Amino acid sequence: MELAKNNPTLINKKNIMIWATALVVVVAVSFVPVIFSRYVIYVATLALLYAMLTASYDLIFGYTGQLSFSQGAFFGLGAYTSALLTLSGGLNFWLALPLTVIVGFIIAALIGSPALRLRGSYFAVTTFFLAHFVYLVFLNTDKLTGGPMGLRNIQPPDKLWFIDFSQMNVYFYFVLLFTILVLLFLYYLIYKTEIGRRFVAIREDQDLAESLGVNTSFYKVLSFSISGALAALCGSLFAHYFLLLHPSQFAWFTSEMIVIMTLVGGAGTLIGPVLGAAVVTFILELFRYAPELRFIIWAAALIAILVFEPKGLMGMAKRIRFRRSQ
Amino acid sequence: MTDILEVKGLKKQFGGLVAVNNLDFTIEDGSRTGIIGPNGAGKTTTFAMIAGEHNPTAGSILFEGERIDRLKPSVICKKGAARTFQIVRVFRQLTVYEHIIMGAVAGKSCFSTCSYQTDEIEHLMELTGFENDHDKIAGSLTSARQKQLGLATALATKPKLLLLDELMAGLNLSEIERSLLILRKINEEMGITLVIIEHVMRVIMGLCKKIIVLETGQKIAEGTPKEISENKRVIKAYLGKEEKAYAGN
Ligand SMILES: Nc1ncnc2c1ncn2[C@@H]1O[C@H](COP(=O)(O)OP(=O)(O)O)[C@@H](O)[C@H]1O
Ligand SMILES: [Mg+2]
Repeated sequence: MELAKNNPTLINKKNIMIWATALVVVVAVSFVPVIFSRYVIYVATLALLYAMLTASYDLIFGYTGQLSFSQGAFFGLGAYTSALLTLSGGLNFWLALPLTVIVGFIIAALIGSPALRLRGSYFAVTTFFLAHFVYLVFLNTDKLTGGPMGLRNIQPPDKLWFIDFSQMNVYFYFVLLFTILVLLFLYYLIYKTEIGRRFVAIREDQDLAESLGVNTSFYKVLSFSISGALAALCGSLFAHYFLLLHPSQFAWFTSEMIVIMTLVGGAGTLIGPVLGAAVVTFILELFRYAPELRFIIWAAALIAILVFEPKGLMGMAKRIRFRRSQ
Repeated sequence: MTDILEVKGLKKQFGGLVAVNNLDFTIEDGSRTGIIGPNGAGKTTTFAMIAGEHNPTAGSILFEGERIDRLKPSVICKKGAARTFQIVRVFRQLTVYEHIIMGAVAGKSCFSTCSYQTDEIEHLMELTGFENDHDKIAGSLTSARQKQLGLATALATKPKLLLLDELMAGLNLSEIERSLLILRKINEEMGITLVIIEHVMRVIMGLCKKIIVLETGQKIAEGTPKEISENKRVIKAYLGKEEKAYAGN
């Protein structure tokens, strides 16, 4: 009650309903490996990875209001960093993972500090070229990344006690656990600390936020860095699941995809982008056997969403609930 | 009495346009000062420089004896100088309550939770007439109310000096009366120094002990309301065309 009083619209009945629904979804999802085939488990693991990635993107885009097209680049940086730390560096995965997160944070901070001085579309365009630059680095530093040949022989995470991560089911639960941890971390950051309020203030009106005492340049970089660090975490988990990295996995389309997933789910709702990522991953898999149609149908659907439901799935859910209550 | 603000030789040039030129004035701690002048006189630009939004082309600004020109707005706000904007600026998607809390927490350097006093926020809401609007969405208020919300939020930063830029624009007579009462309370009970830009003469004349008159970026007069209303140059430059200045706003 105390918190409810302090945060009248952040924690209320509506949000409790959303989190209850999320709990049901988590329980349902955790049965996937028990019931379904290897292929479904594979798709579900990818969907979870993208859900985590999209949730981390929602921090900088949905909550802090900075449209960026470089989330896929940080995802790739994380994947290559983690793979190289274990392959060339000979590190244990369990050491490489946190190191990768730190590397992601630092690189995002280094890039964000100058880039976030730009506003709106100028920043967005900068991140677009940044992502392409990172892709070109993956492609052209043959000695380090294997260039167009890619990186092979990446190993699954080292055994932890008796847990064998080379098992598909085990890896699925492993990723599920991380997804939930990342979501809880973001939830805590956004709703429970005053940092989240500052992110929202920047999104709503940067000049007003600054005039009220928010160090906007610092908090924008902080948001971008946390977002980048979590993307790198997803990259690490991806590398040691897919076991094979290629620059094309992190080309511009990956970053665009994350933006699209966020829009489909509803930016700035945290849970929306997670659903968006899951829905989009499964839809794209459905069209796997008609690759030439895949992106045409997809583009049409996207335009339809943006025209008819710009607030995405969460906007749709809200409207349906509103209509019912009348 | 000591001066809380001291502006010396202030100048702002936008390309070829000199918006503020060689401006000097001081603001006494705890006082109420009005700044008037026709549209484009450089009033808002002066506020923007004090608040750190624009860097002055020349001159200096001292707040409590310390140079603040070239500091960032957030730093200046934390030192105790807050402002409201002439154009309406609100966090549109927040509720009124969250909006005011934003003022209370924005400048805190802590990373911890809930560092504001609930009763202080409630008191502020009552003072500024938002006590029944906790859950209203800021973006849905009328623009006149949004400006009042800007005042409440700026107050939540606990300023020593408050710069108010055309706060009353768009209010009707009874709302102006209420707003005047609020400003008096803010000044007399909370001890906050007020500097206000206003086109409504009743407000300036009734509220301020000192008035500064700007025209094309320069100070053309300074004095008590009585002195200003009798100043020939002011009458010629501004008061004589009050209707026009008002309509053009
Ligand atoms: N950011 C800016 N860039 C260029 N010119 C500006 C800018 N801000 C204000 N001006 C110009 O400076 C002059 C003073 O404007 P302003 O301070 O807003 O006047 P006032 O508030 O007294 O009406 C005007 O001629 C205005 O057009
Ligand atoms: Mg003005």
